[in-house]
Amino acid sequence: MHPEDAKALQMLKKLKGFDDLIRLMMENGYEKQERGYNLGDYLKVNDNNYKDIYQLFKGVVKQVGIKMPELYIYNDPEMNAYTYGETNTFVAISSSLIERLSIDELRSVMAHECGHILCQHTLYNTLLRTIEELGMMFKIISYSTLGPILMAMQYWSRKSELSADRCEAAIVGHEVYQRTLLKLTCGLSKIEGSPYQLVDQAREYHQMKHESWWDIIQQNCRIAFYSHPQSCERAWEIDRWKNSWQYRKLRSTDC
Amino acid sequence: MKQDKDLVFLASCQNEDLRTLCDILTYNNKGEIRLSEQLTDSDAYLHYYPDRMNLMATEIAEELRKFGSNTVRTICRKGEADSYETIVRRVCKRMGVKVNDCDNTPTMERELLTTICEQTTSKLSDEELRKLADKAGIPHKSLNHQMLVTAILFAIRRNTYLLTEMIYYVTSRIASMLLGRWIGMMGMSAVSRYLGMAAGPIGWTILAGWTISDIASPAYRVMIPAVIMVASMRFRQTALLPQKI
Repeated sequence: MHPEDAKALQMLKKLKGFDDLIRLMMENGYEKQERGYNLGDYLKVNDNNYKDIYQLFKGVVKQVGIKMPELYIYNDPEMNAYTYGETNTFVAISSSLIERLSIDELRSVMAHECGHILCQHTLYNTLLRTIEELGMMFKIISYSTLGPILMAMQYWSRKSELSADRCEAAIVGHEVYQRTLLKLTCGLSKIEGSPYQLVDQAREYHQMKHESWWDIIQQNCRIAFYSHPQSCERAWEIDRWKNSWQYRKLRSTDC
Repeated sequence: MKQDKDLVFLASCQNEDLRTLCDILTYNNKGEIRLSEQLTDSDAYLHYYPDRMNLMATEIAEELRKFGSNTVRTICRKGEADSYETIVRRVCKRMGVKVNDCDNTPTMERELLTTICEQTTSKLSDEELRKLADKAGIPHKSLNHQMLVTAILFAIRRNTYLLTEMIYYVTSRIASMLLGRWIGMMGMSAVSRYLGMAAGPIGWTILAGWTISDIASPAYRVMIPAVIMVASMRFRQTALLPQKI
């Protein structure tokens, strides 16, 4: 787990009662709604249809060490995947991901989503979504009042992605991770040049960002409400983490 | 941040000791990461923890000083935290250890360690004190409880080996309490064998009283064990050096 994610989760866990409330809401509301939506509109993957993909997924789930979630494919030209659920979890993958990624890269995306389940991100992510929805539904409790909380939650959300990225890199290795990220960033099925080019780009970005205080403020304000870290930051973080004993240990035990 | 002359020796300390110090700074006794720590996300930590700790001694020293300083003041001084000497002085004051204004860091650290050992000794039972006196070679048959305490307290001040032994258990108990593991100190083990002292009476009683309550207070729960750890590391380096030669 990324240390910043661990710290943020620790703080969130101190909000006694909130997690129980959200868990209850998820179990009896959101999870069932989502499952109904998935069964209604997505394709559920099992041993009888896309056997190879399902076997691949089962392998990743076993390596990560979580309870087997349901796997769905949905029709979308945008390469994306997501997970949801605390007690009944699922992973949904877009059709374009399956079409454009290699087997290793697909494993990489699956490992990322399983990482979110492993770190129990979905519970607090639901809290984040609930705050957002409250802001949209009830105009009185608008973004102006919930803004700071939302900003803090988005900060955590970005850090939680880094934890899931670590899980991904631990399963598939840093090179496959970088290649997958590169494809997700440019949206193309073939990449040219080094798989580490986003790391170089991150260095350029950091140089640009730290030219002056004004640049730092400007860039930080730009990403303050992002739910995901920028691609180059993700590439850079894993490039740093690959030197750590945690990574070496996880890779050597073939997690 | 400028290098602190009192913490330069960390680079030559044993890996396991530095790791314990690093863990004290980064994790609490529940194994949760400390919210204000900045070490675990550093490049040095990613590269060198846990096997090449001496290569990140500078970062550990900086983190230690940051923890012991007022954050706002550090920012105002362009990231320059209080010196380690100031921090030790503050910890001594907090622990009720009497130090003079002209005392340097090693003197204050030694006084801190000695005081901890003395306070612990006075909390030992009669049986434990007699066992300790036996191990230290103090004749005690004709001594009552108070006289025995005085004799051992005197011995701690005079006998480096007895002090070393007690310091070993203090730091071991801190590590055990905070990190859930005992620390192996090779130099200390040698002294331990020399004196032939058992862990029993001292080990479990040390820190049972005021030390634990002091460590548990929010502001000093990181700094007190960290400073004690640094003090014991320096003490070992200086006290046991002639023995190695």
